[in-house]
Amino acid sequence: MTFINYVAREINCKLVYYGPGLGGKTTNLQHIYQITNPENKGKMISLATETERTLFFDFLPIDLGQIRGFSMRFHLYTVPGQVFYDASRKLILKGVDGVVFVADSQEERLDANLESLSNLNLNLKEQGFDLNKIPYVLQLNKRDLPNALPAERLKKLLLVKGEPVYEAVAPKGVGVLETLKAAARQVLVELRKSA
Amino acid sequence: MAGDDKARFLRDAEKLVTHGKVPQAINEYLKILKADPNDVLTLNTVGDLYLRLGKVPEATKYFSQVADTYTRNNFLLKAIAVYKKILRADAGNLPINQTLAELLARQGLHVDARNQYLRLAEVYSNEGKKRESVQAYEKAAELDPANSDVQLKLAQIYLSEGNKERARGFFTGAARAQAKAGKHKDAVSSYQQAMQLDPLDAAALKGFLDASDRLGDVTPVLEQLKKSLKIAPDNVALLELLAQAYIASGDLEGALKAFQTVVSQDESRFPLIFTVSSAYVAAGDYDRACLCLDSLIPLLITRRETERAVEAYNEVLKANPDHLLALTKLAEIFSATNDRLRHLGTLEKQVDAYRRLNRPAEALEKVGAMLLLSPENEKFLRLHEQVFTEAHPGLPYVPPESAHESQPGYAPTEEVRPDVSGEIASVLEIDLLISYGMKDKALGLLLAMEARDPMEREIRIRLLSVYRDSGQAIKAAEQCLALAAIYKILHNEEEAAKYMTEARRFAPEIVGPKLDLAAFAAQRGIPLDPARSVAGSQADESMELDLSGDLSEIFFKDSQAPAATDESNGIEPETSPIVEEYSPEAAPRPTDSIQEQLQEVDFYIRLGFHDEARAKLQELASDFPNHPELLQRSRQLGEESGQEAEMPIPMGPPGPEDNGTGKNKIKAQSDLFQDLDVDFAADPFVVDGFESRGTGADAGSSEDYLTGSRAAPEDLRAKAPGGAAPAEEKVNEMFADILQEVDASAGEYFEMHFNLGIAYREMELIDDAIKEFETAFKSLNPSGSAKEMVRCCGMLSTCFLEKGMPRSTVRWCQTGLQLPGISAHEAMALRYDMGTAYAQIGEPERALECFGAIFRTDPSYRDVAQRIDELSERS
Repeated sequence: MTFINYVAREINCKLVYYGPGLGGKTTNLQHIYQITNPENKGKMISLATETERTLFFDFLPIDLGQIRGFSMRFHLYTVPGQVFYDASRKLILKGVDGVVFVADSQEERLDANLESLSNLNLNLKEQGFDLNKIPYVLQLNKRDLPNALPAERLKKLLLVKGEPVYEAVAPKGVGVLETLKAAARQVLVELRKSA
Repeated sequence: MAGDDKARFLRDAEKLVTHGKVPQAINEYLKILKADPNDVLTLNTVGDLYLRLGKVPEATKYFSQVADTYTRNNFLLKAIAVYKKILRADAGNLPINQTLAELLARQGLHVDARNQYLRLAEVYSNEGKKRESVQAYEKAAELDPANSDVQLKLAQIYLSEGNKERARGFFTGAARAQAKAGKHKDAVSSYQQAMQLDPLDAAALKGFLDASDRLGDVTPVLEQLKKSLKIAPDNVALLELLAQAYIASGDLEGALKAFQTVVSQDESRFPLIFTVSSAYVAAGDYDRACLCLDSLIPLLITRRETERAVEAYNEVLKANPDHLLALTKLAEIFSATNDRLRHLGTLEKQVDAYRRLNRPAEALEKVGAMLLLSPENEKFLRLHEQVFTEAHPGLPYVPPESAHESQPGYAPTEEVRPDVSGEIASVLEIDLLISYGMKDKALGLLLAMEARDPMEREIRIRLLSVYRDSGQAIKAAEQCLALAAIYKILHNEEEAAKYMTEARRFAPEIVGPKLDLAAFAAQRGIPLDPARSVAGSQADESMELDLSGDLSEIFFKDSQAPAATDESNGIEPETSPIVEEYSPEAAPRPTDSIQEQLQEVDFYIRLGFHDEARAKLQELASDFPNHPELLQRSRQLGEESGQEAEMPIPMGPPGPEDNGTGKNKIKAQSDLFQDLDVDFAADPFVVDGFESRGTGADAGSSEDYLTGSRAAPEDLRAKAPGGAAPAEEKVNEMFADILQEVDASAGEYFEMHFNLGIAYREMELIDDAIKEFETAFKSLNPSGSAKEMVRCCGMLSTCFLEKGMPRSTVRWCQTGLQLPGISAHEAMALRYDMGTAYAQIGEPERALECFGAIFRTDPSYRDVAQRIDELSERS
């Protein structure tokens, strides 16, 4: 849920990057962090005890600009993709304003994608959200890998409601900003609608 | 003692021995020992001399000293020899027996040690020392576990003492030893004794089963297992043993059932089912070898272990290369796993097998399936023609595509309309969707696949499953009928009858004797009646008339009116704001200029949100018709979005009071945007700071910013501190005009803890958040970080309010308010929190003081006026 910080004059929106483990969620945030003007980003926090896997979450605040003296500050989170960190995922989804689902395009990760998507649906429901109503973007990551499934096939299996879909190669930054932009757009529109 | 003395004593002693004067000789030797008590040779000689005199205890004393010295110096074999010498003289000496046994075991002489312990056990037993005797037996058993006699003896001893646990252990040990020695009958007997003491001992039961199997009669163990399972029916280990016992007894169905129960409780044990499959292969029952894996396939798909099933089917094919069921199952697996190459290869084998068996109709179906996978393959096309001729002699050849198109009366009747374009999905994917509960999506894809290939049984079986699970009896019946028709085509009357029965069970009122299955099937694209199907376009137009009225009504009534799916994205900009009454008592808000409102348009344009920008422009156009800035933005939007004319703005005359401020129309805003200090006459999303940036033709589009295809304006580039690297420019440009909020001087430590606090608060981990904010606060230098300190105070006051600790909120607000250089809005925000906290504490006067101070600065601040009213009324 959007939080208005009157002391700092900020409107804080929460955007969560969801998806299976090692699917590229953290890489998305790292790319955003790397190319964002230092003045418009906060420090990226990665609570990780290993170098390869996210064990808790990443957090990156970025500033999109000001509206009537209030900064539009987006808080980007990643969830730990590994199945056994469900409690962490539920916590991170609390008060979410929008979700980016980072799917791993590799054929052998289809099962993990579906499991994660099902888990997202379930966890959102537990938090009182409806995936069909919440701002939501699907990113098909790792498109450059030889074992990537055709995008059309993935869309048929992973599309939830006709949400925007972006093909991405996160380490190269391909599709990363487009995904963020689409998600931010939906969140802003929802914010405006709630006005 | 000098060396000369020792030599003299020795000489004298030896002389005395020679003369038979043994006691005197001993005295001489003792003189030597007095001087050197560890002289083992002398000690040994003295012992020997005492033995000659028949003085065993004295001899033992000196021999023991010798053995002890040897043991200390690690000359164990010598020590053992000495102890044996003692025992030759004194066999019942318990300490020596004990010591010798230990030494033998220590030296690794297990047989000798075991014998020594057994001797020791007997000695103890003879002396009535039962406990020590048992301990000696246990040592012997430990040293020689293959000695079943010792273990049985121990088992009996413990049993007589009432210690069932120990007794069972030794019975089992004895049984194991007996089995190892090939004494299976004895082993079975020992195991049975063990089972009487603990019927749930899985390890013992396993041994029992093995021994019984070796004897060629597992009946006793089967009976024992059944008894044990009555006590613990969910014991997975026992169930597994029961299944193995069934396999040993040749009851493979019993084994399958038991293994399935095991797998249902612990799916990681699924490989057990393959044991049954292999047993069926060994028994020559290849059909059952295939079918027994059916229940396992969804699990294998989910676990991505389908290769295990492939191996099992290949095992069948190794025994019988033409086994149709194994080939069918293999084809299903390859289809499910998208293994196109192996799928084609298997289909080809199926075609060959069907043709050899003179079943051309099925062969033709498989060629059709091959052509679906490889439509241009000339070899397959030729094969299709060849097999078609075999299947339908005398009929003109219908190529596969036209045959598919001409299936009569094809008209899907589902509510969900399938997407038949492109590649749809594999059965594997469908199974995955179903297994993850995404049944709606699975249904949509299945319907698309059904439309594409009405003859595909796997699709219909899954459709049947989905409908059955969702309680849609009519649709389930429909699928049963379709499957029955398909099986009739395949001449598999048994399966056809099975599905007819199931259809009747789902919808008994409609699947009656009047049902024309052929007509129904034809409607579904299933050519049950060759006269209707093969001829394709010659299909009987009166087919639907053949249907029974009930069936036709129920099955096809929806076919003309498929329900539209909800394609709405659910995200549309609000276009008609609610009009709210403006309170004249409220202090007047500053008037928004059109420039401020245009900032919002610029904000949207910059982010590439053209629809939102367009909607805002349209909204503004009604308030500010013909405004040149609007026209300029509209042109800019047209250029950015690639549209020629972006001018949807109605150009009506301005209202009487509308002087470019839009004041005549007061729009309602939510609390959110009232809180944002947004003018009621303006849209909330008005962005500051965009005016300074070029607009119109000079301005880059948002896409340009993203792609970097257009250079950023110079002024924006100058804003990037230190000159951004090219890779950074994308976002620098994208958000170039976003004003800086975070003080760049904030240290990393502060920022990390502050952000962590923010994250924890958003996860509702308030205690953790408070800890992080306090850490962040403490890390700051009060002289140079007032802004960060105020932010911390604000977040801490918020957290404590959320935690229900208003007094702490007051303290943090006071701290913040005392900080130097605090801005007016920061002070108002903290006072607002402090007022709220005082109200919660029950101090309305102080709360009123806080809200009053805000009201005097800005009467329109949030709901402060309302708060004052409420508190005044209460007090």
